[in-house]
Amino acid sequence: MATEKTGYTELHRGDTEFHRENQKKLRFSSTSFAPSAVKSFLQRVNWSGVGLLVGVFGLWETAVQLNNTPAYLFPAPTAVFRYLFLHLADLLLAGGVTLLEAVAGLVLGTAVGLALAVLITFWQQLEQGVMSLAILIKSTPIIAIAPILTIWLGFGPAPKVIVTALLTFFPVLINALTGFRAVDGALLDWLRSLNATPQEIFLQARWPGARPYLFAALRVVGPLALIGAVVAEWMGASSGLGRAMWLAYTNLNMPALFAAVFVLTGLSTAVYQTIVSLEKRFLFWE
Amino acid sequence: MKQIDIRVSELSHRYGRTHALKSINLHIQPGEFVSLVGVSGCGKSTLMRLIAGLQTATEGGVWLDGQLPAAARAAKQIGWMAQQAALLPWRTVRENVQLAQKINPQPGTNTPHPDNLLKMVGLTEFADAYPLTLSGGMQQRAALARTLATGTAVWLMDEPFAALDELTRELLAEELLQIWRQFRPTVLWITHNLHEAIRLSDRVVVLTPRPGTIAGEIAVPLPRPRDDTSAEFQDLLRQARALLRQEVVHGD
Repeated sequence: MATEKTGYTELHRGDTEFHRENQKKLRFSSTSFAPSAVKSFLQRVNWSGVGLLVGVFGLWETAVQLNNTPAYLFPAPTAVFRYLFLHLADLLLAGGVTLLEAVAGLVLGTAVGLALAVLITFWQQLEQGVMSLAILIKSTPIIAIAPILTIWLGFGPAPKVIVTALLTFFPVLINALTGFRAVDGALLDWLRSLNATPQEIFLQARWPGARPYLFAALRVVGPLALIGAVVAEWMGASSGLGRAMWLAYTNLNMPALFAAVFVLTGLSTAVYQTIVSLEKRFLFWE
Repeated sequence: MKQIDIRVSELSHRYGRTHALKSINLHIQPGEFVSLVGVSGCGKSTLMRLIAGLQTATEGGVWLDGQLPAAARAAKQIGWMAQQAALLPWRTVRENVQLAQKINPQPGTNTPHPDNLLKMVGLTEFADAYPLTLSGGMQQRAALARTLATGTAVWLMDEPFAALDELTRELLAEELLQIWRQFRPTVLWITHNLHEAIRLSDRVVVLTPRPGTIAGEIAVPLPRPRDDTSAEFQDLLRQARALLRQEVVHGD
Protein backbone atom coordinates (compact mmCIF):
# COMPACT_ATOMS: atom_id res chain seq x y z
CA MET A 1 0.00 0.00 0.00
CA ALA A 2 2.78 2.34 1.05
CA THR A 3 4.79 1.67 -2.11
CA GLU A 4 1.73 2.13 -4.23
CA LYS A 5 1.15 5.44 -2.59
CA THR A 6 4.73 6.60 -3.24
CA GLY A 7 4.41 5.38 -6.78
CA TYR A 8 1.28 7.41 -7.23
CA THR A 9 2.88 10.46 -5.69
CA GLU A 10 5.88 10.09 -7.98
CA LEU A 11 3.60 9.88 -10.95
CA HIS A 12 1.57 12.77 -9.74
CA ARG A 13 4.63 14.92 -9.15
CA GLY A 14 5.62 14.23 -12.73
CA ASP A 15 2.17 15.40 -13.79
CA THR A 16 2.36 18.59 -11.80
CA GLU A 17 5.73 19.45 -13.22
CA PHE A 18 4.43 18.85 -16.70
CA HIS A 19 1.41 20.96 -15.89
CA ARG A 20 3.57 23.73 -14.50
CA GLU A 21 5.68 23.73 -17.67
CA ASN A 22 2.54 23.99 -19.74
CA GLN A 23 1.21 26.76 -17.58
CA LYS A 24 4.43 28.69 -18.13
CA LYS A 25 4.14 28.25 -21.87
CA LEU A 26 0.50 29.24 -21.79
CA ARG A 27 1.16 32.29 -19.67
CA PHE A 28 3.99 33.28 -21.99
CA SER A 29 1.86 32.91 -25.09
CA SER A 30 -1.18 34.59 -23.59
CA THR A 31 0.71 37.65 -22.43
CA SER A 32 2.68 38.11 -25.60
CA PHE A 33 0.26 37.12 -28.39
CA ALA A 34 -3.29 36.63 -27.26
CA PRO A 35 -5.49 39.70 -27.10
CA SER A 36 -7.93 39.94 -24.21
CA ALA A 37 -10.85 38.60 -26.30
CA VAL A 38 -9.01 35.32 -26.90
CA LYS A 39 -8.01 35.20 -23.26
CA SER A 40 -11.55 35.64 -22.05
CA PHE A 41 -12.69 33.00 -24.54
CA LEU A 42 -10.09 30.60 -23.18
CA GLN A 43 -11.33 31.29 -19.68
CA ARG A 44 -14.94 30.73 -20.64
CA VAL A 45 -14.38 27.39 -22.39
CA ASN A 46 -15.60 24.46 -20.35
CA TRP A 47 -12.28 22.60 -20.27
CA SER A 48 -13.57 19.63 -18.30
CA GLY A 49 -16.25 19.12 -20.94
CA VAL A 50 -13.71 19.36 -23.74
CA GLY A 51 -11.46 16.91 -21.90
CA LEU A 52 -14.27 14.42 -21.46
CA LEU A 53 -15.21 14.66 -25.14
CA VAL A 54 -11.62 14.13 -26.27
CA GLY A 55 -11.34 11.18 -23.88
CA VAL A 56 -14.48 9.51 -25.20
CA PHE A 57 -13.40 9.96 -28.82
CA GLY A 58 -9.93 8.63 -27.95
CA LEU A 59 -11.32 5.49 -26.36
CA TRP A 60 -13.76 4.99 -29.24
CA GLU A 61 -10.99 5.38 -31.81
CA THR A 62 -8.70 2.96 -29.95
CA ALA A 63 -11.45 0.37 -29.52
CA VAL A 64 -12.40 0.46 -33.20
CA GLN A 65 -8.76 0.30 -34.35
CA LEU A 66 -7.80 -2.55 -31.99
CA ASN A 67 -10.91 -4.54 -32.82
CA ASN A 68 -10.70 -3.92 -36.56
CA THR A 69 -14.42 -3.14 -36.59
CA PRO A 70 -15.59 -2.62 -40.17
CA ALA A 71 -16.74 0.93 -40.95
CA TYR A 72 -20.21 -0.23 -42.11
CA LEU A 73 -20.89 -1.44 -38.55
CA PHE A 74 -19.19 1.11 -36.38
CA PRO A 75 -16.97 3.78 -37.90
CA ALA A 76 -14.02 5.28 -36.01
CA PRO A 77 -14.34 8.97 -35.09
CA THR A 78 -11.59 9.80 -37.59
CA ALA A 79 -13.68 8.25 -40.37
CA VAL A 80 -16.73 10.21 -39.25
CA PHE A 81 -14.80 13.47 -39.06
CA ARG A 82 -13.20 12.80 -42.46
CA TYR A 83 -16.67 12.43 -43.95
CA LEU A 84 -17.84 15.48 -42.03
CA PHE A 85 -15.12 17.72 -43.44
CA LEU A 86 -15.35 16.35 -46.98
CA HIS A 87 -19.11 16.96 -47.08
CA LEU A 88 -19.27 19.92 -44.74
CA ALA A 89 -21.20 22.19 -47.13
CA ASP A 90 -23.85 19.55 -47.85
CA LEU A 91 -24.25 18.64 -44.20
CA LEU A 92 -24.50 22.25 -43.09
CA LEU A 93 -27.05 22.95 -45.80
CA ALA A 94 -29.09 19.93 -44.70
CA GLY A 95 -28.70 21.03 -41.09
CA GLY A 96 -29.87 24.52 -42.00
CA VAL A 97 -33.02 23.16 -43.66
CA THR A 98 -33.79 20.96 -40.64
CA LEU A 99 -33.09 23.81 -38.23
CA LEU A 100 -35.43 26.14 -40.12
CA GLU A 101 -38.19 23.52 -40.11
CA ALA A 102 -37.64 22.83 -36.43
CA VAL A 103 -37.66 26.51 -35.45
CA ALA A 104 -40.77 27.18 -37.56
CA GLY A 105 -42.50 24.20 -35.92
CA LEU A 106 -41.32 25.33 -32.49
CA VAL A 107 -42.68 28.83 -33.02
CA LEU A 108 -45.99 27.45 -34.29
CA GLY A 109 -46.27 24.89 -31.48
CA THR A 110 -45.39 27.46 -28.83
CA ALA A 111 -47.87 29.95 -30.27
CA VAL A 112 -50.66 27.36 -30.31
CA GLY A 113 -49.79 26.13 -26.79
CA LEU A 114 -49.72 29.68 -25.46
CA ALA A 115 -52.93 30.66 -27.22
CA LEU A 116 -54.77 27.66 -25.75
CA ALA A 117 -53.40 28.40 -22.28
CA VAL A 118 -54.58 32.03 -22.52
CA LEU A 119 -57.97 30.87 -23.77
CA ILE A 120 -58.39 28.50 -20.81
CA THR A 121 -57.20 31.16 -18.36
CA PHE A 122 -59.89 33.59 -19.48
CA TRP A 123 -62.67 31.06 -20.13
CA GLN A 124 -62.26 28.30 -17.60
CA GLN A 125 -65.27 26.41 -18.92
CA LEU A 126 -63.23 25.61 -22.06
CA GLU A 127 -60.63 23.72 -20.03
CA GLN A 128 -62.11 20.22 -20.19
CA GLY A 129 -62.79 20.32 -23.90
CA VAL A 130 -59.45 21.84 -24.90
CA MET A 131 -57.46 19.60 -22.60
CA SER A 132 -59.16 16.38 -23.80
CA LEU A 133 -58.42 17.31 -27.38
CA ALA A 134 -54.84 18.27 -26.54
CA ILE A 135 -54.23 14.99 -24.71
CA LEU A 136 -55.75 13.06 -27.61
CA ILE A 137 -53.37 14.74 -30.07
CA LYS A 138 -50.44 14.38 -27.73
CA SER A 139 -51.14 10.67 -27.22
CA THR A 140 -51.21 9.84 -30.94
CA PRO A 141 -47.70 8.55 -31.80
CA ILE A 142 -46.01 11.15 -33.96
CA ILE A 143 -44.36 8.37 -35.96
CA ALA A 144 -47.86 7.35 -37.12
CA ILE A 145 -48.93 10.86 -38.08
CA ALA A 146 -45.77 11.82 -39.96
CA PRO A 147 -46.25 9.53 -43.02
CA ILE A 148 -49.90 10.57 -43.34
CA LEU A 149 -48.92 14.23 -43.38
CA THR A 150 -46.18 13.50 -45.92
CA ILE A 151 -48.71 11.80 -48.23
CA TRP A 152 -51.09 14.74 -47.88
CA LEU A 153 -48.64 17.61 -48.01
CA GLY A 154 -45.71 16.31 -50.02
CA PHE A 155 -41.94 16.26 -49.54
CA GLY A 156 -41.65 19.99 -48.71
CA PRO A 157 -41.23 21.60 -45.30
CA ALA A 158 -44.97 21.79 -44.43
CA PRO A 159 -45.38 18.31 -42.89
CA LYS A 160 -42.13 18.75 -40.90
CA VAL A 161 -43.29 22.02 -39.43
CA ILE A 162 -46.64 20.50 -38.48
CA VAL A 163 -45.09 17.38 -36.91
CA THR A 164 -42.73 19.58 -34.88
CA ALA A 165 -45.59 21.81 -33.78
CA LEU A 166 -47.63 18.76 -32.73
CA LEU A 167 -44.70 17.54 -30.68
CA THR A 168 -44.01 20.88 -28.98
CA PHE A 169 -47.37 22.50 -28.23
CA PHE A 170 -48.33 20.28 -25.31
CA PRO A 171 -45.50 20.99 -22.82
CA VAL A 172 -45.89 24.70 -23.60
CA LEU A 173 -49.65 24.52 -22.99
CA ILE A 174 -49.25 22.72 -19.65
CA ASN A 175 -46.45 24.93 -18.34
CA ALA A 176 -48.00 28.19 -19.49
CA LEU A 177 -51.31 27.27 -17.90
CA THR A 178 -49.57 26.33 -14.64
CA GLY A 179 -47.64 29.61 -14.76
CA PHE A 180 -50.72 31.74 -15.44
CA ARG A 181 -52.41 30.16 -12.43
CA ALA A 182 -49.41 30.27 -10.10
CA VAL A 183 -49.72 34.03 -9.63
CA ASP A 184 -49.14 35.11 -6.03
CA GLY A 185 -52.40 35.43 -4.07
CA ALA A 186 -51.29 38.63 -2.32
CA LEU A 187 -50.52 40.22 -5.69
CA LEU A 188 -53.92 39.19 -7.00
CA ASP A 189 -55.64 40.70 -3.94
CA TRP A 190 -53.81 43.98 -4.42
CA LEU A 191 -54.70 44.18 -8.12
CA ARG A 192 -58.33 43.38 -7.36
CA SER A 193 -58.46 46.02 -4.62
CA LEU A 194 -57.69 48.54 -7.39
CA ASN A 195 -60.49 47.08 -9.49
CA ALA A 196 -58.06 45.85 -12.14
CA THR A 197 -59.74 44.12 -15.10
CA PRO A 198 -58.95 40.45 -15.86
CA GLN A 199 -56.98 41.72 -18.87
CA GLU A 200 -54.88 44.03 -16.68
CA ILE A 201 -54.31 41.23 -14.17
CA PHE A 202 -53.19 39.00 -17.03
CA LEU A 203 -50.82 41.54 -18.58
CA GLN A 204 -49.34 42.82 -15.32
CA ALA A 205 -49.15 39.67 -13.21
CA ARG A 206 -50.01 36.40 -14.94
CA TRP A 207 -48.03 36.86 -18.14
CA PRO A 208 -44.72 38.08 -16.63
CA GLY A 209 -45.10 35.63 -13.76
CA ALA A 210 -45.50 32.70 -16.16
CA ARG A 211 -42.23 33.40 -17.94
CA PRO A 212 -40.10 31.07 -15.76
CA TYR A 213 -42.60 28.26 -16.46
CA LEU A 214 -42.57 29.04 -20.15
CA PHE A 215 -38.80 28.92 -20.37
CA ALA A 216 -38.73 25.62 -18.47
CA ALA A 217 -41.01 24.24 -21.20
CA LEU A 218 -38.87 25.73 -23.99
CA ARG A 219 -35.74 24.08 -22.61
CA VAL A 220 -37.45 20.72 -22.99
CA VAL A 221 -39.19 21.46 -26.25
CA GLY A 222 -36.29 23.18 -28.08
CA PRO A 223 -34.17 20.05 -28.66
CA LEU A 224 -37.39 18.05 -29.12
CA ALA A 225 -38.27 20.26 -32.10
CA LEU A 226 -35.19 19.04 -34.00
CA ILE A 227 -36.17 15.44 -33.33
CA GLY A 228 -39.64 16.18 -34.68
CA ALA A 229 -38.25 17.69 -37.87
CA VAL A 230 -35.80 14.80 -38.42
CA VAL A 231 -38.45 12.13 -37.82
CA ALA A 232 -40.72 13.83 -40.32
CA GLU A 233 -37.87 13.99 -42.83
CA TRP A 234 -37.27 10.25 -42.50
CA MET A 235 -40.80 9.74 -43.80
CA GLY A 236 -39.89 11.41 -47.05
CA ALA A 237 -38.16 14.68 -47.75
CA SER A 238 -36.39 16.47 -50.57
CA SER A 239 -33.72 17.86 -48.24
CA GLY A 240 -32.64 18.04 -44.59
CA LEU A 241 -30.62 16.04 -42.10
CA GLY A 242 -33.31 13.37 -41.80
CA ARG A 243 -33.11 12.75 -45.52
CA ALA A 244 -29.30 12.65 -45.34
CA MET A 245 -29.57 10.10 -42.54
CA TRP A 246 -32.09 8.04 -44.43
CA LEU A 247 -29.86 7.99 -47.54
CA ALA A 248 -26.84 7.01 -45.46
CA TYR A 249 -28.87 4.33 -43.75
CA THR A 250 -30.12 2.74 -46.98
CA ASN A 251 -26.54 2.73 -48.36
CA LEU A 252 -25.09 1.44 -45.07
CA ASN A 253 -22.81 4.50 -45.16
CA MET A 254 -22.17 4.60 -41.44
CA PRO A 255 -19.64 7.46 -41.41
CA ALA A 256 -22.23 9.61 -43.21
CA LEU A 257 -24.94 8.58 -40.75
CA PHE A 258 -22.73 9.40 -37.77
CA ALA A 259 -21.66 12.70 -39.32
CA ALA A 260 -25.32 13.68 -39.64
CA VAL A 261 -25.91 12.68 -36.02
CA PHE A 262 -22.98 14.87 -34.95
CA VAL A 263 -24.39 17.86 -36.83
CA LEU A 264 -27.79 17.23 -35.27
CA THR A 265 -26.26 17.09 -31.78
CA GLY A 266 -24.44 20.36 -32.44
CA LEU A 267 -27.64 22.05 -33.60
CA SER A 268 -29.55 20.71 -30.62
CA THR A 269 -26.96 22.09 -28.21
CA ALA A 270 -27.04 25.44 -29.98
CA VAL A 271 -30.84 25.62 -29.74
CA TYR A 272 -30.71 24.78 -26.05
CA GLN A 273 -28.03 27.36 -25.33
CA THR A 274 -29.95 30.03 -27.23
CA ILE A 275 -33.01 29.36 -25.07
CA VAL A 276 -30.89 29.50 -21.90
CA SER A 277 -29.39 32.87 -22.86
CA LEU A 278 -32.84 34.24 -23.77
CA GLU A 279 -34.07 33.05 -20.40
CA LYS A 280 -31.31 34.97 -18.63
CA ARG A 281 -32.31 38.11 -20.45
CA PHE A 282 -36.04 37.79 -19.84
CA LEU A 283 -35.88 36.64 -16.22
CA PHE A 284 -33.59 39.44 -15.08
CA TRP A 285 -35.35 39.89 -11.75
CA GLU A 286 -34.58 36.42 -10.42
CA MET B 1 -59.27 64.20 -0.32
CA LYS B 2 -62.78 63.03 0.35
CA GLN B 3 -63.28 61.38 3.73
CA ILE B 4 -65.24 58.19 3.95
CA ASP B 5 -66.86 56.19 6.71
CA ILE B 6 -67.08 52.39 6.86
CA ARG B 7 -70.25 50.75 8.10
CA VAL B 8 -70.44 47.02 8.75
CA SER B 9 -73.88 45.76 9.59
CA GLU B 10 -74.88 42.30 10.89
CA LEU B 11 -72.10 40.75 8.86
CA SER B 12 -71.76 36.95 8.96
CA HIS B 13 -69.60 34.72 6.84
CA ARG B 14 -69.25 30.96 6.54
CA TYR B 15 -66.71 28.82 4.71
CA GLY B 16 -68.63 25.61 4.19
CA ARG B 17 -69.53 24.53 7.70
CA THR B 18 -67.04 26.83 9.43
CA HIS B 19 -68.59 29.94 10.89
CA ALA B 20 -65.84 32.52 10.35
CA LEU B 21 -67.67 35.71 11.34
CA LYS B 22 -70.96 36.21 13.16
CA SER B 23 -73.09 39.34 13.44
CA ILE B 24 -70.34 41.92 13.17
CA ASN B 25 -71.49 45.52 13.65
CA LEU B 26 -68.89 48.20 13.28
CA HIS B 27 -68.87 51.82 12.31
CA ILE B 28 -65.62 53.58 11.54
CA GLN B 29 -65.81 57.37 11.36
CA PRO B 30 -64.30 59.30 8.46
CA GLY B 31 -60.59 59.77 9.18
CA GLU B 32 -60.63 57.43 12.16
CA PHE B 33 -57.81 54.95 12.84
CA VAL B 34 -59.28 51.70 14.15
CA SER B 35 -57.30 48.61 15.08
CA LEU B 36 -58.83 45.18 14.93
CA VAL B 37 -57.17 42.81 17.38
CA GLY B 38 -57.63 39.10 17.76
CA VAL B 39 -55.77 35.81 17.92
CA SER B 40 -54.77 34.02 14.70
CA GLY B 41 -57.66 32.53 12.78
CA CYS B 42 -60.38 34.69 14.34
CA GLY B 43 -61.54 36.00 10.97
CA LYS B 44 -59.71 39.36 10.95
CA SER B 45 -58.47 38.89 7.41
CA THR B 46 -61.85 37.62 6.23
CA LEU B 47 -63.46 40.79 7.58
CA MET B 48 -60.96 42.91 5.69
CA ARG B 49 -61.55 41.02 2.45
CA LEU B 50 -65.30 41.46 2.90
CA ILE B 51 -64.90 45.20 3.43
CA ALA B 52 -62.79 45.47 0.28
CA GLY B 53 -65.34 43.40 -1.59
CA LEU B 54 -62.78 40.74 -2.56
CA GLN B 55 -65.26 38.27 -1.09
CA THR B 56 -69.02 38.48 -0.64
CA ALA B 57 -70.47 37.88 2.81
CA THR B 58 -72.97 35.12 3.47
CA GLU B 59 -75.17 37.57 5.36
CA GLY B 60 -75.20 41.24 6.18
CA GLY B 61 -73.52 44.08 4.40
CA VAL B 62 -70.70 46.57 4.13
CA TRP B 63 -71.01 50.20 3.07
CA LEU B 64 -68.24 52.65 2.39
CA ASP B 65 -69.60 56.18 2.32
CA GLY B 66 -73.00 54.59 1.78
CA GLN B 67 -71.84 52.61 -1.24
CA LEU B 68 -71.15 48.92 -1.75
CA PRO B 69 -67.49 47.81 -1.72
CA ALA B 70 -67.54 47.18 -5.47
CA ALA B 71 -68.44 50.82 -6.09
CA ALA B 72 -65.72 51.99 -3.72
CA ARG B 73 -63.18 49.84 -5.57
CA ALA B 74 -64.39 51.14 -8.92
CA ALA B 75 -63.88 54.70 -7.61
CA LYS B 76 -60.43 53.60 -6.42
CA GLN B 77 -61.09 54.59 -2.83
CA ILE B 78 -59.58 51.50 -1.21
CA GLY B 79 -55.89 51.24 -0.36
CA TRP B 80 -54.82 47.69 0.40
CA MET B 81 -51.72 46.55 2.24
CA ALA B 82 -51.06 43.04 3.43
CA GLN B 83 -48.31 41.17 5.21
CA GLN B 84 -46.57 40.47 1.92
CA ALA B 85 -45.57 43.64 0.10
CA ALA B 86 -46.91 42.06 -3.12
CA LEU B 87 -44.76 44.20 -5.40
CA LEU B 88 -44.27 43.12 -8.99
CA PRO B 89 -40.70 41.75 -9.08
CA TRP B 90 -40.24 42.61 -12.77
CA ARG B 91 -40.92 46.30 -12.19
CA THR B 92 -38.65 48.76 -10.44
CA VAL B 93 -39.88 50.46 -7.26
CA ARG B 94 -40.87 53.55 -9.23
CA GLU B 95 -42.62 51.47 -11.90
CA ASN B 96 -44.53 49.65 -9.15
CA VAL B 97 -45.80 52.95 -7.81
CA GLN B 98 -46.66 54.14 -11.32
CA LEU B 99 -48.63 50.96 -11.97
CA ALA B 100 -50.95 51.73 -9.07
CA GLN B 101 -51.82 54.98 -10.87
CA LYS B 102 -52.06 53.37 -14.29
CA ILE B 103 -54.58 50.72 -13.31
CA ASN B 104 -58.20 51.91 -13.24
CA PRO B 105 -57.29 55.60 -13.65
CA GLN B 106 -59.75 58.13 -12.26
CA PRO B 107 -60.18 61.08 -14.61
CA GLY B 108 -60.08 64.48 -13.00
CA THR B 109 -58.10 63.49 -9.92
CA ASN B 110 -54.63 64.76 -9.18
CA THR B 111 -52.23 61.90 -8.63
CA PRO B 112 -49.03 62.68 -6.75
CA HIS B 113 -45.73 62.19 -8.55
CA PRO B 114 -44.16 58.79 -7.74
CA ASP B 115 -40.80 60.36 -6.90
CA ASN B 116 -42.41 62.60 -4.26
CA LEU B 117 -44.05 59.57 -2.69
CA LEU B 118 -40.80 57.64 -2.69
CA LYS B 119 -39.16 60.60 -1.00
CA MET B 120 -41.89 60.55 1.62
CA VAL B 121 -41.17 56.92 2.50
CA GLY B 122 -37.40 57.37 2.23
CA LEU B 123 -36.82 55.33 -0.92
CA THR B 124 -35.51 58.02 -3.28
CA GLU B 125 -32.20 56.23 -3.74
CA PHE B 126 -33.95 52.96 -4.52
CA ALA B 127 -36.44 54.24 -7.11
CA ASP B 128 -34.75 52.26 -9.89
CA ALA B 129 -34.08 49.13 -7.83
CA TYR B 130 -35.98 45.89 -8.35
CA PRO B 131 -38.05 44.82 -5.31
CA LEU B 132 -36.29 41.51 -4.73
CA THR B 133 -33.02 43.35 -4.15
CA LEU B 134 -34.59 45.28 -1.22
CA SER B 135 -35.02 44.27 2.41
CA GLY B 136 -38.46 43.36 3.75
CA GLY B 137 -38.78 46.76 5.42
CA MET B 138 -37.92 48.64 2.25
CA GLN B 139 -40.38 46.49 0.29
CA GLN B 140 -43.14 47.52 2.69
CA ARG B 141 -42.06 51.16 2.34
CA ALA B 142 -42.51 50.77 -1.41
CA ALA B 143 -45.92 49.17 -0.83
CA LEU B 144 -46.85 52.15 1.34
CA ALA B 145 -45.78 54.58 -1.38
CA ARG B 146 -47.92 52.59 -3.78
CA THR B 147 -50.90 52.87 -1.44
CA LEU B 148 -50.40 56.63 -1.25
CA ALA B 149 -50.05 56.83 -5.04
CA THR B 150 -53.76 56.47 -5.63
CA GLY B 151 -54.71 58.96 -2.92
CA THR B 152 -57.13 56.47 -1.43
CA ALA B 153 -59.55 57.52 1.27
CA VAL B 154 -59.65 54.15 3.03
CA TRP B 155 -56.64 52.11 4.11
CA LEU B 156 -57.24 48.44 4.77
CA MET B 157 -54.07 47.12 6.34
CA ASP B 158 -53.70 43.47 7.26
CA GLU B 159 -50.62 43.26 9.48
CA PRO B 160 -48.45 44.98 6.90
CA PHE B 161 -45.37 45.05 9.14
CA ALA B 162 -45.86 41.70 10.88
CA ALA B 163 -43.06 39.98 9.00
CA LEU B 164 -40.50 42.65 9.93
CA ASP B 165 -38.19 42.79 12.91
CA GLU B 166 -39.33 44.63 16.03
CA LEU B 167 -37.30 47.78 15.49
CA THR B 168 -38.12 48.25 11.80
CA ARG B 169 -41.72 47.56 12.59
CA GLU B 170 -41.89 50.27 15.24
CA LEU B 171 -40.09 52.77 13.03
CA LEU B 172 -42.33 52.11 10.03
CA ALA B 173 -45.47 52.31 12.15
CA GLU B 174 -44.35 55.72 13.40
CA GLU B 175 -43.74 56.97 9.87
CA LEU B 176 -47.06 55.56 8.75
CA LEU B 177 -48.76 57.43 11.55
CA GLN B 178 -47.18 60.70 10.44
CA ILE B 179 -48.34 60.16 6.88
CA TRP B 180 -51.79 59.26 8.14
CA ARG B 181 -52.00 62.52 10.13
CA GLN B 182 -51.09 64.38 6.97
CA PHE B 183 -53.75 62.78 4.73
CA ARG B 184 -56.27 61.56 7.30
CA PRO B 185 -57.63 58.49 5.53
CA THR B 186 -59.99 56.14 7.36
CA VAL B 187 -57.88 53.21 8.54
CA LEU B 188 -58.72 49.67 9.52
CA TRP B 189 -55.52 48.24 10.95
CA ILE B 190 -55.39 44.51 11.65
CA THR B 191 -52.89 43.21 14.16
CA HIS B 192 -52.42 40.67 16.90
CA ASN B 193 -50.11 43.04 18.76
CA LEU B 194 -52.03 44.92 21.48
CA HIS B 195 -49.20 47.30 22.21
CA GLU B 196 -49.04 48.36 18.57
CA ALA B 197 -52.83 48.74 18.43
CA ILE B 198 -52.92 51.10 21.40
CA ARG B 199 -49.91 53.07 20.24
CA LEU B 200 -51.40 53.73 16.80
CA SER B 201 -55.16 53.85 16.88
CA ASP B 202 -58.10 55.94 18.05
CA ARG B 203 -60.05 52.83 18.92
CA VAL B 204 -59.17 49.16 19.47
CA VAL B 205 -61.77 46.53 18.57
CA VAL B 206 -61.24 43.07 20.02
CA LEU B 207 -62.45 40.08 18.02
CA THR B 208 -63.19 36.62 19.48
CA PRO B 209 -62.18 33.45 17.65
CA ARG B 210 -64.53 30.92 15.97
CA PRO B 211 -66.92 32.41 15.16
CA GLY B 212 -65.47 35.89 15.01
CA THR B 213 -67.62 38.31 17.00
CA ILE B 214 -66.80 41.64 18.54
CA ALA B 215 -65.95 41.10 22.19
CA GLY B 216 -65.65 44.75 23.03
CA GLU B 217 -63.81 47.89 22.16
CA ILE B 218 -61.52 50.30 23.89
CA ALA B 219 -61.25 53.99 23.01
CA VAL B 220 -57.73 55.40 23.14
CA PRO B 221 -58.09 59.11 24.00
CA LEU B 222 -54.33 59.70 24.39
CA PRO B 223 -52.64 62.45 22.36
CA ARG B 224 -49.99 61.40 19.81
CA PRO B 225 -47.09 60.72 19.93
CA ARG B 226 -47.90 58.35 22.77
CA ASP B 227 -45.68 57.46 25.63
CA ASP B 228 -46.04 53.74 26.16
CA THR B 229 -44.55 53.97 29.66
CA SER B 230 -47.29 56.30 30.92
CA ALA B 231 -49.82 55.01 33.44
CA GLU B 232 -52.76 55.67 31.08
CA PHE B 233 -51.13 53.68 28.29
CA GLN B 234 -50.37 50.77 30.61
CA ASP B 235 -53.91 50.85 31.94
CA LEU B 236 -55.42 50.66 28.46
CA LEU B 237 -53.03 47.85 27.60
CA ARG B 238 -54.15 45.95 30.71
CA GLN B 239 -57.84 46.43 29.82
CA ALA B 240 -57.35 45.25 26.27
CA ARG B 241 -55.31 42.25 27.35
CA ALA B 242 -57.97 41.24 29.87
CA LEU B 243 -60.64 41.47 27.19
CA LEU B 244 -58.63 39.43 24.71
CA ARG B 245 -57.55 36.80 27.26
CA GLN B 246 -61.08 36.30 28.55
CA GLU B 247 -62.32 35.68 25.03
CA VAL B 248 -59.52 33.29 24.13
CA VAL B 249 -60.19 31.24 27.27
CA HIS B 250 -63.94 31.24 26.51
CA GLY B 251 -63.28 30.26 22.91
CA ASP B 252 -61.30 27.22 23.99
